[in-house]
Amino acid sequence: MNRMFVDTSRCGSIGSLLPKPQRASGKVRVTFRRREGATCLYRLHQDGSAKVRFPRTGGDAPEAVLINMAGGMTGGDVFGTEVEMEAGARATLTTQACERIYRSTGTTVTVENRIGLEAGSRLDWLPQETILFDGGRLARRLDADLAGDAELLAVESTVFGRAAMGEIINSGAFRDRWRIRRDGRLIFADELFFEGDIAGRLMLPAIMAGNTAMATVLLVAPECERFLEPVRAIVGDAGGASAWNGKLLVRIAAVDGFSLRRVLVPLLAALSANRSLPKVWQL
Amino acid sequence: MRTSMGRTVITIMTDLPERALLRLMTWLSPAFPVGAFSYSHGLERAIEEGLVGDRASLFGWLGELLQRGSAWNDAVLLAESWREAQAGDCGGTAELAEALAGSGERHMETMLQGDAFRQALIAWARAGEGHPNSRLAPSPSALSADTSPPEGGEDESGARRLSSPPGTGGDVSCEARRIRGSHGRAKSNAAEPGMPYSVAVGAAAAAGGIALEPALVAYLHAFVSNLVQAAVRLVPLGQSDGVAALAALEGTVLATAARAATSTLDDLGSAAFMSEIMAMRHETQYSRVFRS
Repeated sequence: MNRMFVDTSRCGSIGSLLPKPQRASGKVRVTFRRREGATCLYRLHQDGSAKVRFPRTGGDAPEAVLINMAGGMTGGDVFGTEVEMEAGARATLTTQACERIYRSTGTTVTVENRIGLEAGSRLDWLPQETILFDGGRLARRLDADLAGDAELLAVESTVFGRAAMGEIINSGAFRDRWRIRRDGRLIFADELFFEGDIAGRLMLPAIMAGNTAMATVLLVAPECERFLEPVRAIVGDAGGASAWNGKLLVRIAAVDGFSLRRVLVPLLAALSANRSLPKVWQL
Repeated sequence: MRTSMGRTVITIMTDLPERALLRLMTWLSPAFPVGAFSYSHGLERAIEEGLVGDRASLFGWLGELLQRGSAWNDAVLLAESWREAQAGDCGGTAELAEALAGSGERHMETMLQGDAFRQALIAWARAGEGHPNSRLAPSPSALSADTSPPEGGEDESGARRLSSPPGTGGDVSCEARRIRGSHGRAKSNAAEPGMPYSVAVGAAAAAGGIALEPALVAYLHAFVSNLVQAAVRLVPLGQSDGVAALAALEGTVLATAARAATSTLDDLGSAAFMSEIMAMRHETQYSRVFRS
């Protein structure tokens, strides 16, 4: 039934007539399959304001570019990306733009990303930075299940207010939760949580020592230790790197988004499967 | 007597709080052979880089670790493992705690201390064969834990704050089950996966009749006082400055322990990003006294 006018005569409460605030949601599910020596897109599902494009790269490992048509996220929005890499498949995933988390009236943006990797597959999970605005609230989760010798390169980077624009985060919340398993066993977990007077906290030496942009980069792959020295040379004083138990972890803290990217671009290029980054990642 | 279910804090305790106090003091004493003195948790690098250099910055650094850093996460994990042990559950807290270690040296720090802690507890198990205490430690009594006599006697009578009834399952019978489950028969615990320090302390406290919140207070105190001692060795900071930092952190330790006692794993979360970076950068520090 398509009603243009609502009959209010029998309604007790006007509140029940008001539309609920429009909330965006988006879900992308993509499966990559190896066929005749190259990886191809096998299945794709796009829902809501999330879209995905596959620019031609010329290589045999496709690139997927996520696009949020809603142009930013705010409280109550729910987004999720699921990537399945079938045996031997290789692909890179990125986002078309930095994701913006705008002021919320109290509810939180939920982002839940899930990656499944069968034996012999590899995914480079390289979304661009997330920018948290004053009052923004984000809870993000990354779950990856690797089988056998599958490899994963993953980055999540966050900019707390654009310093150059004089943006300061006096309130808000940011949670980033990672769970990475290989053959069912948890091999890496991360729990970042910032809340409240984030700008004030960022100044503290143990927190960010005045930096406003950060990134966590994880490579789980056989022999990833061999990247440790080159990675340390790239990161320099901007962060730290360590390799143990089949994983390489890098953390970077930079004064702003631009300084962060100056380290991230060469770092991710060095660690990526193709030794080069998607176009959107250029400086 | 036990009211433990899910996330509720246990408030009904057994008698003999003195025994619980004695164990806490012993197990979390700097003299207990876990080698805590050899780890700085990245503080040595923070001092090298000038992030910590005096009493005030040391106080600030440790306060952040307690409230929203690695010490907070450890406290949440300790609480979860205590509840697991109380419930006789072989949950995944050890795996999660190990996966959360943020660098090679942090991983070594927590795993080696956890191993050493459980090794040292064997003394209690030996002293108490046939007694509920025998559930405290891993082998050798670990493998007979299932047949230990029912709890009773002196540990079970009153209601005081510091001690708690030993858990029904303790970490040891869990281990015994795990070993039997995976190998069909008992085997030396050399093949077991290790247990991170915070998780080992939580499990032992539950098995040893120590209430959760005092265990958290003692653990967090041991954590900060160890780092204060490290700082006293590394910066021109007198013992009296160190003591002053400890006195000033008293409220934070107590508040963190109280918060952690009612936490769940959903409350895990650290903002101490620079502390994590310093722990990584310690690996390449040219001249160093500490192993982390």
